[in-house]
Amino acid sequence: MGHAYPFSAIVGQDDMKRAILVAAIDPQVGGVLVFGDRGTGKSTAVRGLAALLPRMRAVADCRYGCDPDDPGRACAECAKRAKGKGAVRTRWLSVPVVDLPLGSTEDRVVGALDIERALTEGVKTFEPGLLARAHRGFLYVDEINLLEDHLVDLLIDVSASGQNIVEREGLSVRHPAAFVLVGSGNPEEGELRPQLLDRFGLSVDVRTPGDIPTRVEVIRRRDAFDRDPEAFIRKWRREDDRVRRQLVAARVQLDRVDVPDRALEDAAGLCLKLGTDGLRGELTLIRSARAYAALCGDSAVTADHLKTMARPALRHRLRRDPLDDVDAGARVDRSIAELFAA
Amino acid sequence: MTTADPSQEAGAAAARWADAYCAARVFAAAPAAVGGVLLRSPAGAVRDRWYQILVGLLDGVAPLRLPAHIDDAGLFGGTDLAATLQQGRPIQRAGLLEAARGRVLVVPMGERIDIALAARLALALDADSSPGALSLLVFDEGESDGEAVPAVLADRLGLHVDLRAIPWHVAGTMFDPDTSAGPPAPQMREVEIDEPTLNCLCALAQSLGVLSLRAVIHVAQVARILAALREAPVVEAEDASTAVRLVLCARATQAPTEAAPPDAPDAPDAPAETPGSEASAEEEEARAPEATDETDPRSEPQAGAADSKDESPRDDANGSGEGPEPETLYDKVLESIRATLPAGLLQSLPLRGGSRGSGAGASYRSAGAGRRIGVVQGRARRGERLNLVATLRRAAPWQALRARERSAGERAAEHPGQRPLIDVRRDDFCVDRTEARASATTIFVADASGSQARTRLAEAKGAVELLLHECYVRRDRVALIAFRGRTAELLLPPTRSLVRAKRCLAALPGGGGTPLAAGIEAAALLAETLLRRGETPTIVLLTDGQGNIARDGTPGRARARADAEAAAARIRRIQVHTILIDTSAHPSTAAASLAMHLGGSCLALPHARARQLAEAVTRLPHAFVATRGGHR
Repeated sequence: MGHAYPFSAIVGQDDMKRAILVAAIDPQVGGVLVFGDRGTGKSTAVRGLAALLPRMRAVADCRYGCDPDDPGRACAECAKRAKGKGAVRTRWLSVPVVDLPLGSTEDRVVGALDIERALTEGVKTFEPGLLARAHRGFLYVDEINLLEDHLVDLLIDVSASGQNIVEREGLSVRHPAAFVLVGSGNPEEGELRPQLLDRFGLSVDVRTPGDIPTRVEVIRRRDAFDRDPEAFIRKWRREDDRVRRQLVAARVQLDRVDVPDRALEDAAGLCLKLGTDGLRGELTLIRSARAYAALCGDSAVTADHLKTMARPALRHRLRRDPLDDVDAGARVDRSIAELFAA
Repeated sequence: MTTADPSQEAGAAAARWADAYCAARVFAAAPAAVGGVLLRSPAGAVRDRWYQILVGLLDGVAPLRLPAHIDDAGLFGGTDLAATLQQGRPIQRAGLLEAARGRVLVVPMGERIDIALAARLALALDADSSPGALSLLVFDEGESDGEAVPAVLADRLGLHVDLRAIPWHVAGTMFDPDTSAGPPAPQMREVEIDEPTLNCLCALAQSLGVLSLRAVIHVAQVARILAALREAPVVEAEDASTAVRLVLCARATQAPTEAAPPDAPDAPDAPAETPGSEASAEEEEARAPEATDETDPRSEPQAGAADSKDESPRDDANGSGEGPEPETLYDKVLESIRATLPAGLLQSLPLRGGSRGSGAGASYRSAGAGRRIGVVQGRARRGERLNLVATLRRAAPWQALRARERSAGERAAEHPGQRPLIDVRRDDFCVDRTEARASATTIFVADASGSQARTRLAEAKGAVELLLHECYVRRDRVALIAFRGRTAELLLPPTRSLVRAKRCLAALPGGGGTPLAAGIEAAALLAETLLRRGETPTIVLLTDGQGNIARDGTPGRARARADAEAAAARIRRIQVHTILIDTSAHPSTAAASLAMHLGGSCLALPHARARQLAEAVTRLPHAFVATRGGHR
């Protein structure tokens, strides 16, 4: 396969990069929705991030790549193996990025009965689908607004619970599937239903850069990468290493970041002001602010962290007239300005 | 176009064919780097000729062909189910994408492939663009702009070649397909492309309205390949011009604007000739290291225009040969584009922007979605689900017979293989039949002529907005056609985004004559395209029925009326449900009679009671769909 374009070499698109990093630090934030035009580096960013993350240890014989240090999440076979005697053999695995192509059927996504084994040997075995392959990695869904509703529902359910439960064709299988869901789409072609939108943690808007210098820079970097990928990756390795260190440190620090009462009140106040439906908005805002604080290396969540993460966390949750074309992001910004100025 | 000089036409066609040949050479030189070729041309001798030339240039490595209804297993590889069941052990089948590595994969009928297949091909192109990877040749035979290769795939194909207006006598005589002995392997990596040229390419792309950055990356790559084919170390103006013609012109959505030149003094040899341009290119390179101070990879380069503005006085001060500024390079490339394209094409560009093919906006219907309504015998194709129980039930009665057959065969065979527990043959497979809700599209046709604008366009817009709310609830798609002046225009191809529809509607200007026939015909065309895709269109026509412009644009009430009735008959023939909303001040017979010709119903737009209208209109399509069955 080819080399992955370095994450830090992506020009601009800071909002998107920040949102993906935050979602990678705290998977409980929920997925990331990236809305925007074609060719803005969405899948490049996801692949780049997966490439810069350190390799993980996985149980050697496990189909799902279970984490040997996390027995609570292990699949049924690994649990049995752990009870048995002797050390478990492990291998190194790079962080998987699975693309979910448009038009995938439920079979391919969830997994299904292994037909040929069933018919030839008469045993009922489970053939894992794409969700199993994405365990402990990223699942990138392009054109998520064209995907069928029940599939989107399924993806969000699995990514929230971290487990894939399969009950079909006489099978009853449960396996771990903890991944970061990143969906992209062009809103001009239709929006996701509000219930589905609400279940995504963060949403960002990406635009093709409009000014010539940025465009030229993008092309020049891409050109340099195409001509000599290895040299290009070497040139950006320091930056990538820095991002990796920050991410790994943030994951460790996440539980120790303090969320003061003031921050909780501010978040609640903001959500009330904007009139978001339900409480998911506040929960996501707090979680993402905490992850962002960990990424910055701070020990407590401050108003600045809230302000940065408010827009991605809330702009897709505002109740509005379906025909209303006022940019939701602008409303969030206005409310932030009013709340924090007072 | 009819007034163009025939010799000029022939010259233009020859130039286009020369470009097409150039594209074939570029593609053959580095197929994977370019990604692919999108060839717009009807099936015929011209296209075959081009294909022969390409195969000759590819040095005998014949392209593979993609079957239209290939499923995932065929594309990516998987178990061959029938062979497995027969032999009793898993038999793998290599996928087509794997077999096509290093070769060209031909996609016939590119405008008809469904968007799922397009997405998978795009995925395969993204995964690997190193030399020796997959490259595609997509044939696009689409006539109207409604049928186009899905944008997700078209964006990743570097070269867009248009063979449509090239006559056979031009194609048949230039460039013999057998003469080339294959291109020399160009060292693409070593070719330099300098900063001002890159700036110029970006500026051109923007002025042609091509927003995708991938397209500009492709232009740079193609320019490199062209320079390498010439065995030149650096990309020059002619390479840039050709690259722009090959990559960007077919994707243009607006006529290019002149770059605003800075107040530079008139250089004596401003229209630079070739030797001058070479000298200037070297000068640009010499100046570039001075201009950029930092070599930090993250520094933003100066804007091209600003650079030249600062440097033009320096230029004069040097006195060493007036080199063309980046603006002149821009103009030169622009001129080359203009000279090659026929005049009519540039004029039609604005319309193309409006009806930019419904590639990614097309609704996706999976064969496996929807309610299960029964089982039918047959092999499982894309999306269809194999019904195991029914399959086994079909195979069960034959087991004894097949067992006897098999034991007789095994005694004779050399490799008996494992005995399968149940002998299932190909004919036993049963798949589930599903019924998905037929997607419905509402086509709004709005009369935006002067008479309407004065009286009731605003109210009509209000009524349409209410109807949009209904469409949102039903998750229908909407399309918007407007007619005024002399023609009709598809302002919004079918989309589910109602915000866009509302914005389009709000921005609709009024004025001019009433080309009713053109509007009805545009609606008929769109409805036919949708019907072909298996969707259910409904037409809502807002007008007062008083057309005064005939189909060909000439004024005249009588002819206009006759043309409108003829177009209406077309809609009645394809049996599309139509609702005519009479927007005249008093209910008129013209509207009623037009409704009769359309085979639809006529409703008057009541004053200040738009909501009643919305209710009346929305009740009808449901009733209509129910009587027609609504099933596929």
